[in-house]
Amino acid sequence: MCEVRLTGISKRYEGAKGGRATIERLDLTFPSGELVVMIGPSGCGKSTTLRIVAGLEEPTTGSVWIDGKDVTALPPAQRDLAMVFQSYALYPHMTVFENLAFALRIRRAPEAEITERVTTVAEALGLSALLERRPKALSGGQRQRVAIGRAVVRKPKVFLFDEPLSNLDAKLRGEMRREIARIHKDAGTTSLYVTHDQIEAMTLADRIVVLRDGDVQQIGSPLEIYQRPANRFVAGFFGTPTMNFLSAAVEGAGGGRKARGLGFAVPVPAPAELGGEVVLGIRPEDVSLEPGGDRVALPGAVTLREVLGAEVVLHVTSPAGDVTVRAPAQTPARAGDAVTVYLDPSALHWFDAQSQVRAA
Amino acid sequence: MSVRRPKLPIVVGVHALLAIATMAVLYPVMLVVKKAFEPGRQFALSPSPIPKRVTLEHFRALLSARGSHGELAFLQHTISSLAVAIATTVVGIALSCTAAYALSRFRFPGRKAALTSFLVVQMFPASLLMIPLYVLLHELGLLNSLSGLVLVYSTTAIPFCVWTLKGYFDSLPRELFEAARVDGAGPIRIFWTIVLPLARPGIAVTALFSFMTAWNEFILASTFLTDEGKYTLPVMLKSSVGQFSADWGQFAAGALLTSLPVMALFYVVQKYLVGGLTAGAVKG
Repeated sequence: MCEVRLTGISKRYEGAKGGRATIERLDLTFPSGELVVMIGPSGCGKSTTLRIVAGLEEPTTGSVWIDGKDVTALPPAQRDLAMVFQSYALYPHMTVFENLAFALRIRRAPEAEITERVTTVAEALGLSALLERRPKALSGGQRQRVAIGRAVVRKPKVFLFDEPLSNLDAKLRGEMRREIARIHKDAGTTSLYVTHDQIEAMTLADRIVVLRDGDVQQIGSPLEIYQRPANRFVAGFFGTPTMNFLSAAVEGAGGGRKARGLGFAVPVPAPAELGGEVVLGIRPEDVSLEPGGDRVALPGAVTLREVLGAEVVLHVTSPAGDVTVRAPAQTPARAGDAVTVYLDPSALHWFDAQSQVRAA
Repeated sequence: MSVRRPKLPIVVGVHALLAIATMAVLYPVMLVVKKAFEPGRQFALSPSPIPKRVTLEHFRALLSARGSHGELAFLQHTISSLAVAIATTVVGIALSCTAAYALSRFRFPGRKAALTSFLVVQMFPASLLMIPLYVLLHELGLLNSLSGLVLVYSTTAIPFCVWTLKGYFDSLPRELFEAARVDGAGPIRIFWTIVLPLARPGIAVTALFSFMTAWNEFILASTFLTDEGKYTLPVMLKSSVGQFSADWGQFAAGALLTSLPVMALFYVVQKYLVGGLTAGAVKG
């Protein structure tokens, strides 16, 4: 059990444009035993942060703490962490056995212990039959298993995953995702996981850290992030298809306040301190073609119908902007049809138009 | 997918051109081969590359010739040449591998300057270096010694080897080094267990080149070696063709025998050659 803490971490690359920092004064705590996913668009600093924890990059300022110890000045070898790379980074001239045993040999573990640990890990990962093979004789999925095995066999304080599944096809990715979840559940080792795939983040994480341009946008459980995104960026980043955003202006005062956009008006929830321009976010699954309850109508026309099998996704243009709707597969609406979409007011996310921050 | 076949006249033309070019390259070599197996001391005036009579007499004479102390001269010179070439290769590769690793993987003050100076010294012709090298060897008391020659050859081979090997090391994926570092390996262990095994093709090619350079070198060897007993093969061959008497038959036989080890080495490392050369060429 071991906590990882970053305090005041900045990273500035020499010669970068205007010396702009990739990461600026980042404070993050990765609680002991949790699997924390760092996610964000490319260039947001998530991989750099991971590499700083690993000791492969030096932070320009700030400190890295592992298990209550300041390790900022220590080389990777002395931090007792294991890392899984996107490119697998298997040693091509060694057999699978030697790849798995490499770190143990460096630690001068007794030969009997090496054999035992490698065999156990190989069995758990279904690599037993491949121990004498070289990496080039393995498939992509098998290579990834070896890369994970190489990390697991060491029983390190912390696991670091740097987009470990990006090079795999969709089916294998799902399989390996479950594998990693199982390993984490069994070992309970603190894990830092970097990805740009929101499904990996949602399914694996105990906690998600959303990064953008080196700044933390939100930290929370997958459900918190999905249900209460802290700002418009996080709201748009999670969810497929992405959340719909409609511009509106708050009118009136007291209990009767309404937010009016082009073609619709919704009542403002009671406690919200809202005024002026707002952006309303609503997920495609909260938009319906059926009226009902206090749903708010918005007229529009279908521009595209995407059939996904179990459901269809309708793209509707309306005076307020484009709206995506997730609807049951039997929905009759076709491209060109005029429809009215109904927004569930209780499912609306309210953002301030200026600051983009969540208001209600 | 189908590749359009070129028209017959073009095929014939291209092959004729290639055949002529090949002949132009091979003809002088064939004349030497012919001389080696043809009786007589003089180069015949006939342009035909095929000897009229074949004899092994030149080889016999060359191999049985005795030096001033009664030793087998050709064997003696072969041993000198081998010693110099092998020592040059070993010293050169050992030093340039470690230097190239440092220059490829670490960032330190003076790194750029070192790389540039390695490149700049490459640009001086050997004849220009001859005089300062002569003075240096004289001061070190290494004139007329094989170890002096090894020193000179190594220092001239190292810049080239460093650049080639650095290019090769640069092409090894960065993640391998990072994985090894995270796994707990230090720089020296990474060098031994990761870099050296993976760079074998690059090292083989570089070694071949430094061996070849030392094995074939003539100007420096003939300048620094004065004792006939220490001559390397190229110097010995040249000395067999004097101003007043020239045994071209023995010269040709000796030249053929001298080129055998290099040919054998080329054959052994040929599978590395293409990959090693391109790796060195496109990177660094």
